[in-house]
Formats: sequence, structure tokens, C-alpha cells
Amino acid sequence: MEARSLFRSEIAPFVSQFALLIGASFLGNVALQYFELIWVGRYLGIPGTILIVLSLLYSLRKRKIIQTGSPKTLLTLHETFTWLGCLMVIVHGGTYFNAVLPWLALVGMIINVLSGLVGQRLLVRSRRHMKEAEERYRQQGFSDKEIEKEVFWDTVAFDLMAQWRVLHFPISFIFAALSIGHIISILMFWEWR
Amino acid sequence: MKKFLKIVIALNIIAMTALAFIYPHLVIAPGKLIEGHRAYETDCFSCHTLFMGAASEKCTACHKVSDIGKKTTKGLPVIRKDGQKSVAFHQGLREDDCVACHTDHAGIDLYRIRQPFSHKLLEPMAQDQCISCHARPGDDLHKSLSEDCKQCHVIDKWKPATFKHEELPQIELKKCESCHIKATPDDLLHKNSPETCVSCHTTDKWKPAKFSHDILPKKDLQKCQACHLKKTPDDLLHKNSPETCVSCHTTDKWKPARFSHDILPKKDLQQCQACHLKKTPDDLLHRNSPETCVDCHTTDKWKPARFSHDVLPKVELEKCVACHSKKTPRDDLHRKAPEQCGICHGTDKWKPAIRFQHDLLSAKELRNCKSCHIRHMPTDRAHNESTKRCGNCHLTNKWEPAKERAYRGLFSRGGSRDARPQLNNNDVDDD
Repeated sequence: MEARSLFRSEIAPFVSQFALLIGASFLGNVALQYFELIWVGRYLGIPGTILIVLSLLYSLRKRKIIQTGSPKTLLTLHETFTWLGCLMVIVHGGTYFNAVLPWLALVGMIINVLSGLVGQRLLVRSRRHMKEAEERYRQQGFSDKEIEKEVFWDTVAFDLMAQWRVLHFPISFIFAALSIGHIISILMFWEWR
Repeated sequence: MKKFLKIVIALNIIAMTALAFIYPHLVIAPGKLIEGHRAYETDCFSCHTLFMGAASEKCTACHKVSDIGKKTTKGLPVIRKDGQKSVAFHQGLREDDCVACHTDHAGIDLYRIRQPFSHKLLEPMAQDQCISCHARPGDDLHKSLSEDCKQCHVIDKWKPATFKHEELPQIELKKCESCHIKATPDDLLHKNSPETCVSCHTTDKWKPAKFSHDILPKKDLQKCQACHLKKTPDDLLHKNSPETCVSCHTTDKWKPARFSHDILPKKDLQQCQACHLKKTPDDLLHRNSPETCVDCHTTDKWKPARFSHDVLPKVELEKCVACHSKKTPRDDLHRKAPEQCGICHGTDKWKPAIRFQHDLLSAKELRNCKSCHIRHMPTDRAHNESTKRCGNCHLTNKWEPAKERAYRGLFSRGGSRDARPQLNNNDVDDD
């Protein structure tokens, strides 16, 4: 019974989210080929990259590099933008193997997405543990908005999350490095007119 | 992040950067280069300029515009794989923008937006010289036309092609051959035609063409074969015909044709089959006929035909069914009668048949009149009530007068003396 509950609460959402991303990418690619719009895929890399870069606002807020914006909203944007950005970049990569560097960047990105989805699951689990803290804050007379803010930071600072972040950061860093390498090579050789 | 991990990541980035410089064709190039440029795959800047892409100047440094389509970069003549003539149109392009149409990397080719060649890329003067790039179609129509394709075709597509003759000045409309060079067929008809094309043909289409023979001088009207050389049918009738076409045919149409046999010499009039070889019907009558066609038929028409039995030997006259085999009526009278039709019928006509010899019948058959005359029996009361045989009153050679005294009372009570049987002549068909 417990194993079934674990599957429903942890594994199923994780797998379905990733499967949805891969399925949507596949359908996007097929649609472009069917409508003879493969050339559109070539340019999907640009909005995809912009969305991924925008999703980093959450990381900046978390590290207090920027002070504005609701952390919860920024996290939702982080999850949404990365998912959409990844979708566009995978369609951009298509099924054509032309060079090693962009493919490594693509693989890095997919691993990063998987890692992000794991982090998302851990966050859900942390929230459950933080129910008591929420009650405590309420007894201390905090408003609902203040409670939400305090609990959020407590949640993301939870032990498991801290351990996961140790792994997620280098993965993101490698992905960023490979992507930047790919973008620089494009900038160097592309005919910008 | 742990220091060790940072070092590993840094080393990997450095390695990847180094590989990009050493093996750029594997690490960063978007697909393989075309075969002719394979030697430059590790030297990206032989074609690319930093941050500017592939510049056309670098292409034309090797591929001289004046030689494209004519000579290779090694100075050899360009020969297409399909054997077709290479089209040298690059010299007429408005600007040298090679990558607008060409790519060297296989990966880029996949993303290329394929568009048909646009003539708008050509200089206006080059746009007017279609024939410098395009070959003229090898059909008869185009062979005869001038090289100004735009008179009929538009620059975007070959079809539909239209030419409005109405827009030409009236005087030009009579000079067909100024555009339709060599359009006149090289046949006798056209060689001998003294008229312009429009005398017979319209501007819409070549066929059908009208030709009025009235324009020909009278003497030429007899020389049909001067124009219609191959028109004489290759059959016996025409081979043996000593006349000109107009003796039988009109200038309007070939059929119907009239032919007067009067022009033939008398001896030829007996030789019908010299011309009408296949006309003899394949039936018994004609197969057994020893005569020539003219013995029975006229030269005007096949039917009606006359046939004189007098020409037959006496022995043949008794073999009517040899020719008239299907003519014997299928009734009781004829079934009982012997095959020699001539016993009753004459050779002139089938009816009346008057020469039936009752003596040929047996005494038993003679008593049974009804077996033959079933349709001829009177239906009046006197005859209906009579139980006597026909022969008691009537003779075999004629119906009247009848020996009716014995039955006077019977007839006076309502019978009719005139109620004699009427022969139904429809029983037998005419020959």
C-alpha cells in the first residue's frame, strides 16, 4: 500500500512531466516536418535560450542578488520557462546529428531538466515536513503572506534540498558552458545579415 | 561547490575548447562539407569571415562569375552528369550573393527554405534573353516560332501560354511566316497552294482548315493528285479506274461518290469483279449461278435483280432448291408436295401456283382434301353440316361448278352457293 502511495505521489508525477516534455518535442518535430517548416526549428533555439536565461531570475533571487519578486512566483516561472525553453531547444536540435558540441549541450540540458524535476519532487516532500513550522508561525501571529514567505525559505533550505543543490549546480554549470560554446561558435560563423 | 569538482569542470571546458579548434568539422561544423570543398573542412576561415559568415567574395575568388556554368575552377569545360547543356546564367545575376542560393554544409541544407529560382535575380536585359539559358522545345510548333518566348509565355511559369493574334495590326495578321517560320508543311498540298495561311487556317488552331477549291483555276481542278497525292485508295476499284478523281468525287467531300459505268468500254462492263471483287454475295443462289453479274444486276444498283431461268439447262430447272433452298414454305401443302417446285410454280413468279397435279397423289390422299386444303375449307352452315367428302361435290381441277343437286335443300335453307373457299395467297411468299 505504501509502495503504491510512493509511486503515485513521487514517481508518477516525475515520469509524466518528463514524458510530456519528450512527447511534445517529438510531436513538434513531426509537425515541422509534415508542414515543411523545418527551417522554423533552426530559429527556435533563440527563444528557447531566452526563456532558459529568464528562468535564472529565480536563482538570482534565491541568492539575494536581486531583491524584488515573489520567490514562489519566480520558482513557478523557473519551472515553466525551463520546461518551455527545453521543449524549443530539443525541437531546434531535431534528429540531425551534425556536430558534437551542440549535441553535448542538448544532452547537458536534458540531464539538467531531469535534475530539476528531481528537485521539484524534493521540494514537494519538504513542504509536507514544513506543515508544523507553518502552524508555529501562525501561533506567533504572522500574517498568511509572511507565513508563506518564511515557510518557503525554510522549505528550500531543508536538508535534502541542500544536498540536491550540490549536484544540480555543477550540472547546470556544465550545461551553461556547453551552450555558451555552441552559441559562440554560431556567432563566429553565422552570416548576420 | 567543492574545489575538486570545479577543477574537473574547468578542465573539461578547456578540453572541449581545444577540440573545437583542432577538429572544428567534428565539434562545431553543421554537417559535412560538399565533396569539392572537403579539403577545407578543418579551415573554417577559408570560406567564413569572423562574425560575418561566408562571404561571397571568398567564393568568387575561386569561382569566377564569368566562368560559372562554362568552366570549372580548374579551367575545364563544364559537363553535366545528365548530358544536358549547362545553363550559364550567373553572369546575368543582379548581385553576387552566393549563400542566398548555395550552402556547403549538409546540416544547413536541411533547414534551407527551398524556393524556385527567381528570374527577378537576373539583370533586366538577361531576363529578355530566354534562349541564352533555356533550350527551345523540340516540337513542331516551337521549331517554327521566333526566339521571343515572352510573346506567349510569362517569366514566372511556362504554362499557360497565350498569344493574342487580335492585338496584331491587320497587315501583320497576313504575314504568318514572320513568326511561324517554317510552319508551312512540306507537302504537295501546301507547296501548290497559291494562297496565304489565313485563306485556309484560323489563328486559333491549325485544324480544321477550310479550303475552297473555287479559287483554283479550272485546269487545276482536274489535277487532284497534285495536292492529294496519297489520297487515292489502294483498292481494285480505284486501281482499275481510268478516270480522274472528279469523275466520281466532288471537291466538297469524298463520299458519296458517283460513278457512271457508261464511260467503261463495253467489254469491261462484263468484268464486274475486276472492280467489285468482294461484292458477290456468299449465298447458294450466287454460288450456283453460272452467269456474270450483269445477267441479273444493273450497273445502277444491286437490287432489284432480274434473273431469266431460260439461261439454265433443262436439267437444272428441276433443281429449284439448289438455289431457292430456303424458300419452300413450311406448311402442310408443301410438306406433302414433291421437291420439284416447277410442277406447280412457274419460273417467272411464285403466284399463282396453278399446276398442281392431283394425279400424283394416292387414292387415300385424294380422299383427304383437308390435309392440304385445311385453310381453304368453307365455313358456311351448309358445308359445316355436310358429312360428305369434298370429292362428292367438287373436282380436283377446280372448285366450281360443284355437284350440289343432292344437297339443294340444304343450301336453300340458308346455305350459300357462293360460299366457296378463298385461297389464301399469303400462305406463300413471293420469291
